[in-house]
Amino acid sequence: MDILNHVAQSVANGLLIGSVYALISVGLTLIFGVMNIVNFAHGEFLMVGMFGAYFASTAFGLDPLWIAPLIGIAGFLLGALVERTIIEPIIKAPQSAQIIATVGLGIILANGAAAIFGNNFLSVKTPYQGETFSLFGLHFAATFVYAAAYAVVMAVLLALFLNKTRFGKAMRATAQNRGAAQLLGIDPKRMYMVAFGLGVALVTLAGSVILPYTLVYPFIGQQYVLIMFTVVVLGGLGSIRGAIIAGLVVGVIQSLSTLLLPSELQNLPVFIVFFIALVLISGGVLSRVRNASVKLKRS
Amino acid sequence: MRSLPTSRPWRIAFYLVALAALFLAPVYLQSSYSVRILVLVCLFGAASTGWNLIGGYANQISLGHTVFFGIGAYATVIFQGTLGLSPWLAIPTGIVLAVIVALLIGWPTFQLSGHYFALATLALLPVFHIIATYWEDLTGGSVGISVPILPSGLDTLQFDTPTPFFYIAAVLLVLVMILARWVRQSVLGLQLDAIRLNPQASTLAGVNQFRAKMKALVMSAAVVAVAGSLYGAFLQFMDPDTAFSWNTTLNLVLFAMVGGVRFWWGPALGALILIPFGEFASAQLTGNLAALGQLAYGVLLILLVLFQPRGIGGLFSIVWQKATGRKL
Amino acid sequence: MSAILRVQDLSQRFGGLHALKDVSFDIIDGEILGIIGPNGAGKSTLFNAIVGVVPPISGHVWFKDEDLVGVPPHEVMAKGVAKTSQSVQVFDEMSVLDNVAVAALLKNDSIKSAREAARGELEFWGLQSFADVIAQDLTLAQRSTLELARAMMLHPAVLLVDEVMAGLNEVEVDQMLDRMMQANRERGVTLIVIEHNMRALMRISHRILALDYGAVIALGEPAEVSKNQRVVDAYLGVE
Repeated sequence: MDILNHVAQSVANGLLIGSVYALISVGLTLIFGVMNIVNFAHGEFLMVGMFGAYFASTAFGLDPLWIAPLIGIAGFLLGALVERTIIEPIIKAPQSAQIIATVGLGIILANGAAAIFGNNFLSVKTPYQGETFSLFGLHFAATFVYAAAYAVVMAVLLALFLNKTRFGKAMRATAQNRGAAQLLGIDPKRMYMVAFGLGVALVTLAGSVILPYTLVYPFIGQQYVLIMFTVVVLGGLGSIRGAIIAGLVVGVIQSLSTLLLPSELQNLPVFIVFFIALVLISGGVLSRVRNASVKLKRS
Repeated sequence: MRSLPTSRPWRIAFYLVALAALFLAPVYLQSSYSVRILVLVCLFGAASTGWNLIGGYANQISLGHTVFFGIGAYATVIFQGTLGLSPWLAIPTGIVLAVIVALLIGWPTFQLSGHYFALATLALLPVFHIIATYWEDLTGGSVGISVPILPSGLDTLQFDTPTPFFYIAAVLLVLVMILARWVRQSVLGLQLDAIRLNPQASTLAGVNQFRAKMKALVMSAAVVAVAGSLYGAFLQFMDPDTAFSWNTTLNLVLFAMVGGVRFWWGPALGALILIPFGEFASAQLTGNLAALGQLAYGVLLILLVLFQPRGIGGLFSIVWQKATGRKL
Repeated sequence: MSAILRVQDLSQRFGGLHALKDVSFDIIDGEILGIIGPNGAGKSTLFNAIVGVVPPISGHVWFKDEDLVGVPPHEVMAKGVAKTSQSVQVFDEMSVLDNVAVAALLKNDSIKSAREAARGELEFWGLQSFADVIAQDLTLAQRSTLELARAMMLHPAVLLVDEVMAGLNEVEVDQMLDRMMQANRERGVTLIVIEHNMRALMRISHRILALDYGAVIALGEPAEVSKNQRVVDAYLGVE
């Protein structure tokens, strides 16, 4: 019973943290789907969101959870600006140029933050940091619950945007078939700007949302890289639904692994998942599974 | 044939002068501080040349070469510091381990598009940092391993002045550059060039991309591991932050990009320019401003990609072509 | 009249789109087979499925008693079925000679002998005087020819040629046709040619295959296929 309780608690924690992983990673897969670019600065944009919320909290006493939507909007503008200045010129360049440019962008963001805030671990104080909720004999830290709630709301909003609006539908079509934007009469340049802006908006908002339960420092983006990549690769590069499911899976695996492994090693099983996903994809297994599920749905 | 300085005797003369300038450097650079910087130029120049075999020649950007470097570096300090064995035995050990990691990463990702290789190599870095931090029995954990002071000599790779070590590093650089030049002009080099320029067309030309990339990656990992091993011997100390630093990858990429990824001498040229500059900058910038030096690297990367993707080597080759009417 | 390549029930699907539907036909050793069909009929998809660039979801491609489906494309090239791409794909920043030498590496162990072989191939295609030119400085016709030369450097038994004449003027088309027919005649290569230029196709093809909506609608002598009602309808867009 005790073990069962542990496992249940662990799975529940994993789902909470996993929904946040999905929120963190979904922008990365969205940008890839629409633009065929892997944004290697995605982790640094998370850090920018965290510092944005940190600044709002320490300078104006604003709660990161309340300020998160504003951070997201600012993130959108930042993303759109970056897309226009740095990404747009290399959209058709070789992949290597895109990798180098986004890596360069990440370096600028991380070291810019280090120059402003110093190379220290920082945190915010919120009134609900010690609170917990209890449900069915399980206990949840309020900070995680709020962050997960944000992730769910954002997932719903994103789904509405992609399924109900013309622009969102066009974006989805582009992710499935490049050139669809033009067929639907939408300027691809505008779509790229919006997609990149949206991707950055989601991750900066996520940065604000997770700040109550974590520390921030300029190079923290690097720590999230592994989780982000695992989520998008496991979910299928470019697949939004896949990223959300994979986010939850990674969260649960990581959480369950702490039952067996010391918490310092919690990213090791994540990497193993990443590696297995790579091997399966390269063997064509995942795409066969996907094809099979498509066939099942049809029949 | 014209009697312009493109002919073979001229080229050999140029190489000899460059070699002489390199090996006589400690004579005219009096301070041991300068010689230390030159050691770094040789080691990182060699490592960057190694990165370039896969990153530049084949255009498969690896963001995880730090891992090969760190494996080599740890091999040395563990052999010398913990086991009391010769650092020369650590070098082949480091090569073997680095090659195993390279094969494991290359095997799934080179069957897929280039995105996966870059993603996987970057994801590798935090994993090795975790392992190095956690596996205290082997690595000394976050404290790291220091090599005790031993009698100086070639067998211990410890010397009273940095000059002897410089000669070892310089020999490594020269050997690695010879390897890079040989690869460039080999069958593999032409195949890698084809892959770099047009992956689809290289398949239609019958190139086995997987095998070519694997060969290049294995060589690349081995070279970087050797440079890492010597780096460990040079510092006589290693901890997770030093061995598995994101900055190492960044430097290897940047040196190659600045010097020119298409040229076998490009990465070494990049290291020769940027390392002294970086040392100077970090001496001037302290506190929070230290980050500005790194920030400048980021700006430099983006500017290179946008405006001069062929680096200084590309500029050279244009001037050379204008002056001599020949391709470099 | 033996079949050198036998396409059997080849199907391809992209998402909901059925791009190839159980395509079956034989290619006779030494013939020139023209392939026609409106845009989106599945012509390039068929080529990509045959050589494995985009493997089909089902079906077989028999070549010398071996099924090529599932064989990686570079191995298909090595076995003797080569292809050129729909939009010209050459190594832009490489010399014309090295462009062809890359393919020559398949049967040569050294750069030197590969380049020698490449010189011979360039001569066949009339590009020998451009050997040291960088490929991106060539005209479109020369680049198209270069891609043919590169493919022929693999010494294929069957060569799939995908719209290599697009954008060429009449004179250039005629020159290219002459060379392709010469390659077919003198070097025994079987050619399968996708082409929108009907005049060109009528001139070189021994037989013509018509595709529409991913299915074969006609196969036969050029004169009879061009009179076939379904082919005429497909081209005129009759529903």
